[in-house]
Amino acid sequence: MEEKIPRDYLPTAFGGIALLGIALWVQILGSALFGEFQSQTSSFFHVIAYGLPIGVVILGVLLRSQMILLMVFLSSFVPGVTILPEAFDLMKGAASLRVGLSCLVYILVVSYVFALQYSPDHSILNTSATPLWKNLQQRIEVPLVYSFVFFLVLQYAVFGDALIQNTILQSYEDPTIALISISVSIFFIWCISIYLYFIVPALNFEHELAKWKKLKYEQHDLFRLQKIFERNIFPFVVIFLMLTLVIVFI
Amino acid sequence: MRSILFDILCVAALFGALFQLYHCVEFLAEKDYMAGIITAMIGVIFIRTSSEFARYAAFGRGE
Repeated sequence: MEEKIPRDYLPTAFGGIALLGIALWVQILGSALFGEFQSQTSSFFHVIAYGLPIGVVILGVLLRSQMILLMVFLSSFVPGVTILPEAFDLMKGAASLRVGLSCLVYILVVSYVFALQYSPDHSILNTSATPLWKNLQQRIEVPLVYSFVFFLVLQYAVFGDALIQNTILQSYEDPTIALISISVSIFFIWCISIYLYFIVPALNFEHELAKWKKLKYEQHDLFRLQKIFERNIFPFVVIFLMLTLVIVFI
Repeated sequence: MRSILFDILCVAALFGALFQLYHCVEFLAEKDYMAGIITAMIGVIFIRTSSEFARYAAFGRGE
């Protein structure tokens, strides 16, 4: 049986998460906060908005909370980014790519550390000789191919179908924005559905299969008991019925 | 045999989802947002159904 890693087993990992979070903050809001301190007309509200993610990441690391480190921390950038002056524009040059990569690395590291902490109990799982990754690969490949074809067809509907293109041209004042909005909405629906209904079940398959087998054995036992009960009770029911009939018709 | 049937049903449900989402794009193109949202929801339900069929098929093979 694989034991769960205790809460405080990974101090280095949480130190790393804090460093990554601070690095992400420095790239997005660090210089803006520094500029705010130097400026003559600095506002307390602006300082709070720029410094908020630092407080959140420290709180998240102290409480070892996945929700704070992922959701609250990333959301805490929103107030700061909303009031960010043009001089610190994130979309300039390679800055957006750098920020995007840092954000991706941060999310991956946090998810990995928490996946280690709360690894499921493997005692009830099917211990087959096939390596887990091989199993996963086989199970994920086919849904991914289907999903990709599915996505391509939907993108064709938005960008390739002449009838839909004409309808968009007639219906919207700015067809380019309409096209982008529709394709983004469809992409969003596709991502959510495929993640929830194909990727997550495929990743949890071993666990689901173990639960399914357990339920099936339980049902099998119940069915067997029911058969035994019926077999034992059936002669008495017949005798009772016959007696009733005899009494009624006498 | 049963898992093959579930596989076929899974692909059929996926095609159903595709059909619904294609209609969703058509409705959005016509600026009919309510119909678009409803068809998108039906499409997602079809995807969910397809996923359940895929799961049963995999259970059949995994046993």
